[in-house]
Amino acid sequence: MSFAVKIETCPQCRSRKTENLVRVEPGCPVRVYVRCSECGAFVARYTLERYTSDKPYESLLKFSRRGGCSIASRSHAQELEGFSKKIETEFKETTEAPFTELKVEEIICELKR
Amino acid sequence: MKLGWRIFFVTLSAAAFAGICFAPIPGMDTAARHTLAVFVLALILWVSEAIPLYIASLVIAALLSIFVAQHLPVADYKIFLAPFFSPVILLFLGGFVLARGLESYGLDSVLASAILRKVGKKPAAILAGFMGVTALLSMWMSNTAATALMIAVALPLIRSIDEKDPMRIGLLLCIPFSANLGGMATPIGTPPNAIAIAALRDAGVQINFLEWMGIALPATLILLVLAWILILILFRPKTKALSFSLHKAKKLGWKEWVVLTTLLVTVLGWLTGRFHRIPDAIVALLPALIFFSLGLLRRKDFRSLGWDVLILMGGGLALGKAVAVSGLDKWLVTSLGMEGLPPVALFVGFILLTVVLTNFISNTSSAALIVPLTMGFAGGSNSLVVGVALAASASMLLPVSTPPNAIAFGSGLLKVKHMFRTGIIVAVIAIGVILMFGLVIWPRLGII
Ligand SMILES: [Zn+2]
Repeated sequence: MSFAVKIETCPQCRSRKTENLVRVEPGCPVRVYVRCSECGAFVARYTLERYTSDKPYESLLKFSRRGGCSIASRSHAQELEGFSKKIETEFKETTEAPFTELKVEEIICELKR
Repeated sequence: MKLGWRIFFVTLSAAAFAGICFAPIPGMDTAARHTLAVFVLALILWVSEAIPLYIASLVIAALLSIFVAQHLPVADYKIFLAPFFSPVILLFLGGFVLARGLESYGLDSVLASAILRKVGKKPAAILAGFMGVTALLSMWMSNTAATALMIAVALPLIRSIDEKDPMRIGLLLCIPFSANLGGMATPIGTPPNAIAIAALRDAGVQINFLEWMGIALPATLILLVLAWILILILFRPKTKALSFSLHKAKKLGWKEWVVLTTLLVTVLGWLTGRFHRIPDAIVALLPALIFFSLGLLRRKDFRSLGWDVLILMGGGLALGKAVAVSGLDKWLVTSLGMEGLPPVALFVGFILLTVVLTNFISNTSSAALIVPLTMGFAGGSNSLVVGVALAASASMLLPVSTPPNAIAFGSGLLKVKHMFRTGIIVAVIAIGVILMFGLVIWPRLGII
């Protein structure tokens, strides 16, 4: 198993309808609070390393401005060049994968081992 | 790269290393032979990128410490570790902090808009504006960051231009090119410059911040103007006038003023080194001191400062040191019969080699590989070293040549042929300008 995909469900009412509340605060990484749309329960929190919108190229320009933090290698250049494409294909791959029933913590443990 | 290829290249480099280490090469002492072995290993690892470039740098330092240090007259492995915290590394660190401060408070885009507001509506002037601002920014921040910012600024304008108008391509293309060229102009503009400065310093030639700018800035300016003319010819704008809107200038608070003042004082400190005699590398600590002690930047910023770039440079500097102290540079010159070659042929050869290499591998590694080789020539080699550093920035041909090109290419608006056809002409012009300065102007003026 190289990757797993899980649809978050509400711990209270098992609903799959969730809302992402994106919290941006200076000096902190962006955090996303996931709330159940049905009952409003707390589902999960994600801490973002990087945010990419539906306009991946604009996102790429944003984080590439962090000067000096990326080495000027050919593999890095290849990554930048194929950035939008990669997100496109990865999104497709993710949506088409079979969804797992495991808990996210369990998947993370499993895959990091 | 597939794991199989990685293993292949690592094995190949190890085999080459072992082979050269144990091969009896007549007329070559052990230190030089072992250095040659490390050099070939570095060449394979840096060209193939089988392992990350910065890890290859650490491997290089380790191998030099183990295999070369003991055969030197003064056996001390620490000379191969010191380069990792040498003055140019510190100078770069300061540059990174400065750039991070500018970027964190949006001052890079404030600066860009302030200048671009003045360029008017003529396509040629707009093109010149974007090229000038990109080059100006990349003198002080990384080429990648300058490109990313300026493409973000240009994108709305580019999209507003008619799809059939070649100006679209020209405007997009001019930004990475200007960033690559602008990097040449200051010691902190791009790592190859620092590699040249460090190599010259080891050879007893001190070049301070202002002196580098005196050497490189005129060449950069000429290259920018020629590239501007070229882009205007190749991508002749159809529109007569373009209007573009920029974000309204935001009001600067005290933090922004502190960052700007620090930038000004630091740059001033670099430019006036000959009066106050504080080394550039120490002046470079000022932004870090101010930004971090006032809480303008935080530990997270410090931890993500581009240490990989610094480690890569450190490995390059260590390799250069080894080539010089082991006498490998002299051996190469004599044994390959390059002594008798006319200096002009040598100069042309090395610059061509650098430009070809830098378009396929990282600018920093190409400078790290070629600068040491040029150090063995007696007389007139100083301009050659600087020329090689500038040539290492001439990666204009392919999207993968250097991250700025890749970023422009990521827009999806460019075709490889656009970049290649234009880039090859810019590269040839760069070769011409570097040769003109290196063979005629610098020696005449006696500045290096
Ligand atoms: Zn619920």
